[in-house]
Amino acid sequence: MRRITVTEVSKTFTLHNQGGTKLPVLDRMSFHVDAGECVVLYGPSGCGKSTFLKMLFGNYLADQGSIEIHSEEGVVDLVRAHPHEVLTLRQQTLGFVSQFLRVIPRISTWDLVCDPLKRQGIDPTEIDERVAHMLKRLNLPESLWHLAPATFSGGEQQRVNIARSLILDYPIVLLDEPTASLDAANREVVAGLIADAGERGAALVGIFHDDTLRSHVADRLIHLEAVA
Amino acid sequence: MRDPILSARHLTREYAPGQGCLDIELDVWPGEVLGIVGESGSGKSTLLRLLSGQERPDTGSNRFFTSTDEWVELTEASESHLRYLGRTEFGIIHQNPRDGLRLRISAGGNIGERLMGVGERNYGDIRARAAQWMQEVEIDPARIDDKPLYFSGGMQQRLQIARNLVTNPRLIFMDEPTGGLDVSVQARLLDTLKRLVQELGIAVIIVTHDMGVARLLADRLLVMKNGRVIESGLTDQVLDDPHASYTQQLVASILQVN
Ligand SMILES: Nc1ncnc2c1ncn2[C@@H]1O[C@H](COP(=O)(O)OP(=O)(O)OP(=O)(O)O)[C@@H](O)[C@H]1O
Ligand SMILES: Nc1ncnc2c1ncn2[C@@H]1O[C@H](COP(=O)(O)OP(=O)(O)OP(=O)(O)O)[C@@H](O)[C@H]1O
Ligand SMILES: [Mg+2]
Ligand SMILES: [Mg+2]
Repeated sequence: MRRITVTEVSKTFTLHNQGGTKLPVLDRMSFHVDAGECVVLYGPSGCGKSTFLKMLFGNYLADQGSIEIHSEEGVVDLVRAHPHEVLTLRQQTLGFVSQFLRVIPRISTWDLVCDPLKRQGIDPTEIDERVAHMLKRLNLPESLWHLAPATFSGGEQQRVNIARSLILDYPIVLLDEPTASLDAANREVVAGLIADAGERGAALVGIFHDDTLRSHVADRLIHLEAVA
Repeated sequence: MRDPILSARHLTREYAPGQGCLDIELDVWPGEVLGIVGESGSGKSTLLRLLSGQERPDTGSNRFFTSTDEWVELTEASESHLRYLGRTEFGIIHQNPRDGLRLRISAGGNIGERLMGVGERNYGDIRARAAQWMQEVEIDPARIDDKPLYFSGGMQQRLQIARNLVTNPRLIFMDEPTGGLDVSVQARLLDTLKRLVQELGIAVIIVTHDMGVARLLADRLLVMKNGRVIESGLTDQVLDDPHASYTQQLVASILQVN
């Protein structure tokens, strides 16, 4: 079953405050991802991997082409979608694990991870169980659960980020270096979470620095080259 | 997708060439927070006054969908109808709480006054709801008989929020609601606002010059310059992948501060 269809997508940044410099990053890129598949983007630093992933989340806007997201409600082209359609996709269809947690001050780890489940109107006792299970699986000590992650270590913050992004069974999961700040044991846990997501039929698109992890999770590799 | 509750087209109020609001088109949906950012004098407060019916445009239309399922053309509504909508369907939170509160009547009276405006008469009920709303915005209900004149800025702003929300409005207009407050007070106020907006599902239009506030509260963002909307979209898209030269400047200037 098709989940993502990308057709001839291009992206050039125009830096107006640096003399209007144009920075071409992606040139007519096409690919697709099916349910249960894990596609890994790789290529040299600066070639546009994160840019591409952000476009799949509606965070960056493509200049041309189309990015079709297939969901139960039909097909939405992110390049032309209304912001509300993108927000709906993010609530129900698209999960994104960024490289760093954008720390929301004052909100506890527990509340951060609960939030996506609450928005789905899931029963509170089920929420409690799922959140506790996820935080334990990611080896986050219980003493941290009710603290805001602002003071956490990089690896702890990253695990909160992963917990929050994978707590719902999104049909599509986008991962930008999810394990960059994790130790080997926690990297294993994340590899397990990724495998679980694939088994339940999620389409995954990821970027991984770590060669072992990359070859372990990837069904297909897509090589990006620097355009400029 | 549901219908918008507010829909403006070609809304224009030009005080002098390039000053005011020019040819504004926007829609607001139930339950969303729309942020308006832009430099000083770009027309943000003017736009808020036009949208809320506090000021009439030179041209253009601005339609509001009421809780009784009717479209009202606000630009042509009578003053009394606008006042009625202002009491029942809108909330307006001013930058300076002194403009939105009556400082010499009690805190409870400030909240109760709005309830009486929509026909509540039972003193006991009114007082109970006022106390409940003080709690909601984290003001000690024991202060119910105190005059807000002697409240701190942050407390006054909380009281203004309570006063506006007590009548269950469906659309709230806020002009720099956290301006003039120190950072930690601002932070608590924002937490309260975010929680209430999510719990109550009200729509909010908020003007702010603070990109952090915009990122925290707004689902969508409009960027204004010289009276026009020059860029709009999902908040994180506009802030992370800004296209217009001015928006890039705005975003770059906050990165430097951080
Ligand atoms: N918002 C932006 N505005 C302007 N330029 C940007 C923006 N985001 C990315 N770029 C530029 O686009 C190019 C690709 O960046 P990107 O982050 O996608 O690279 P990457 O392949 O993920 O690299 P890395 O492996 O180092 O993370 C870089 O030159 C970067 O500076
Ligand atoms: N009643 C008025 N009469 C004449 N000119 C006005 C009036 N109200 C606003 N203006 C002018 O219209 C322009 C837009 O003003 P407005 O108050 O909407 O700006 P703003 O974007 O809210 O700015 P700030 O961020 O400084 O509050 C300004 O040049 C202002 O001087
Ligand atoms: Mg990257
Ligand atoms: Mg103003």
